[in-house]
Amino acid sequence: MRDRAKRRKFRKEFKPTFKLSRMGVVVSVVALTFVLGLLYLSQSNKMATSGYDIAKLERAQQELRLDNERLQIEASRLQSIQNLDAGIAKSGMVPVSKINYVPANTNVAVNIK
Amino acid sequence: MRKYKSRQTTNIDRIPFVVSIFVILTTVILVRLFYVQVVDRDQYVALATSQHSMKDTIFAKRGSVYATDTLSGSPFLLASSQTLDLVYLSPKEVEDKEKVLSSLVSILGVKREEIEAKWDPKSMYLVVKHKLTKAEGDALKALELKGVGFQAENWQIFPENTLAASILGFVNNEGDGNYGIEGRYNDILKGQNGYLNEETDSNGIKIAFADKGSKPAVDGSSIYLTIDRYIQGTAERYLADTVKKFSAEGGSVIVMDKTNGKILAMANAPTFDPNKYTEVKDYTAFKNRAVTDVYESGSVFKAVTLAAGEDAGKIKPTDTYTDTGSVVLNGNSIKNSDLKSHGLQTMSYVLEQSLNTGTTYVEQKLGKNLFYDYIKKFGFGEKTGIEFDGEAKGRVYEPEELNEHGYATMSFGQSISMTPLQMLVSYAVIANDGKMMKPYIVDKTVTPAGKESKTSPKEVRQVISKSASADMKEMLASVVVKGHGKQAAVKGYRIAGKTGTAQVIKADGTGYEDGKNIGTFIGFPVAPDANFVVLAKIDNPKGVDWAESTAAPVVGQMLDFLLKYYQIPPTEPVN
Repeated sequence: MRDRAKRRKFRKEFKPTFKLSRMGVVVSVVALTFVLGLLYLSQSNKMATSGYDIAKLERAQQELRLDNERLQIEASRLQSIQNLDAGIAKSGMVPVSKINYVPANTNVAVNIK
Repeated sequence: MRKYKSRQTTNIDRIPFVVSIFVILTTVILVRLFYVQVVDRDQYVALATSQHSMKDTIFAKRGSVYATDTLSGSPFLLASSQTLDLVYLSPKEVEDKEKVLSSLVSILGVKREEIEAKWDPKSMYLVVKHKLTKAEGDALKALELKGVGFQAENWQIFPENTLAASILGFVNNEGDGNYGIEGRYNDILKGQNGYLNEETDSNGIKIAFADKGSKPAVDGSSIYLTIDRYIQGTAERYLADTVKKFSAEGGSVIVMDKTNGKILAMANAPTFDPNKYTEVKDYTAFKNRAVTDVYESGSVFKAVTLAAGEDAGKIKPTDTYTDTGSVVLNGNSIKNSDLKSHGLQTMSYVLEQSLNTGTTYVEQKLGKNLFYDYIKKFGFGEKTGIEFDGEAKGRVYEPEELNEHGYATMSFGQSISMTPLQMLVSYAVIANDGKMMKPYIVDKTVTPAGKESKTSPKEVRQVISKSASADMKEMLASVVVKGHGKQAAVKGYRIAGKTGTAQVIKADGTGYEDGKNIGTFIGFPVAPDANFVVLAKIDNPKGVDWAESTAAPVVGQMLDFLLKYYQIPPTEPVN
C-alpha cells in the first residue's frame, strides 16, 4: 500500500513533458522504416558498384598476369641456347681453347717484380 | 420498344460469347503455362540461370619445369604454361566475308584457300588459328569484325624448343603430359581445376558478395631438374654433329655426377620440338632412349668383369695370363676382336687391347655364380629407379640358364642386355670409390604455396672396395693413354675410359645383324673435384667399325668442355 502511494506521488512530481500520440508512433515507425530502407538501398548500390570495380580490377589483374607469363617466356626464349649460339656466331666469338690457371699459393706478384 | 428489346437481347447473347472467349484464352494461357512451367521447365530454368548466374570452370595453371644454370646459380625455365588466344569464325554471323578473310590473311598469315575450304555458311565455329601472338590478337581485336571470336587456351610452352625434349616429353591438346617428366609427373604438374558459381547482372558482370559456392583452382607444382642447361645443350650439339657425320640412326649422351647420382645431361638423337609434337612422324623420337632401350653393350662391359675379379681378389692389374688367340668352351670358340693371339699379357693390357680371351680368363676364375652376383651388385637386370616411365631393366641370365660359353661371352658384354644409364652407373661406381649412388633427375618439386620437396642423394650400396676402384681407375686410364680410347684424351688431364663396339641383335633374336654396330664409350677424369662421368652411344654409324672413332671423340669433347666449365685445373703437364 505504501509503495503504491509512493509511486503515485512520484508520478505527480515527475510528469512526462513529452507525450507521443498513437499517430506520432505510426509516423515515427514509418519514417524509421523509410530511413532504414534508404540506408539498405544505398548499401546495396554501393555493393553493386564495388562489384563493377572488382570485376574491373580482376580484368586488369588477369591482363597483367598474362603479360607476366608472356614476358617470362619471351625472356627465356631470348636467353635460350639456340638464341645464344646464334648471337655468338653473329658477334664472331670463339670457344675457349685453353685456360691458364694460376696457383693460389704462389708469390706471383714477387715474380713479376 | 421493339427496338430496345432487340438491343437488350443482343447484349445478353454477347455475354456467353465473351465469356467463352475468356475461357478459351484462359485455357490457352494455362496450357501454355503448363508447357512452360512443367513440360519445358528444365530448359527455362537453365535459360534463366544462364542469364543471372555464372557457372564456369577455372582452369588450373600447369606447373613449370626448370633446369639448373650453374653459372648464374638460378633456375632456368624449360617449360611453362601460357594462356594464348585461339581465333575462330562463326560464318553464320559474318557480315562482310571479304573483309574478314582479307584481315585474317594479312594479320595472321593464314592461307585464304584453307579457310575457304572449311567455310560452311551455316557453321557457328571454324577454328582459324591457335596460339595467337599478342600483336596478332591486338590487331585483330581492334578491327571488331562481326563473326570473329576469340577463346583463351592454356598451352605448355617450351622456350628452348628441342633442348632436353626427350627428358621433358610434351603436353597434348587436352592438357595432359605425355612421355618424359611431363608424362610421369602429369598429376602434380596439372593441378586441379576449380569452378565459379556466381550471380551476375543483366550485362553478365558478377554481383559482389553474391557468391553461390565457388571453388578456386589449385595450380600445379613446379619441378626443378638436376639438368644443367649448358651441359645439356653441349651434349646435344656434340651428339647431333656425330650422328650427322656418321649418318648414324641415333644415339645418347649422359652426364652424371658420381658423388650424388645427379643427372647433369641426358641427350638423345633423334629428338623433337615439344611445341610441335604433332609434326613428328617417327614416334620413337619421343622416347628417352637412354633409359628405355636395351642393348648388348659389348666391350665397354669388360671393366665390370675386371672390377669384379679385382674386388673378389682373383686378379690384380699386373697379373698375367697367356693369350692363345682363342678359348674353346662347350665346343664353341671365343676369339679376340683383332683375331690375334697376344701371348703373355697383364690384366691392364686386357683392357687396353680389349681382349675377349682375357675377360673370359677372369670370368672363369670367378665362376658363374660369383660373376652373376657381381653383375647384380653393379645394378644390371634391375631398374635404376630414375624418375621416368618405361625404364627398362635389361636381361641378365642366371648361372643355370647359360652354359660356360654363354657365361664367358657375358664377360665382354654379349648375352647380357642393359640400358645406357645402367652402363653409366656401373662406371660411376668405379669412379666413386666403389660406391653406387642412385641416379635421379628431379632435384625438387615446389607447390604454388612454396612448399619444397627436395630429393636427397641415395647411396645404394658399396659394390667394390676402394682399393679395387683405385686399381680399376688406373687400368682404365691406361686404356686412354695406350689403348683404344685415345680419342677421348684431354690435354693436361688423366682420363679413364673404355670403348665398346657391340653387334646388333636381329629382331627375331636369331643372331646378329651384318654391318651394324653400336659404339659406346664411357669416360671420366681422374682428378680431384672432377665428379662427372660421361657416356656416349652411337647407333649404327655408317662407314666406321669401331667405337673409338665414333663415341670416344664425343666423350673427349664433353670432358674437355666439362673440365673448363667447372674450372678444374690440369693435373698433368699440358705438353
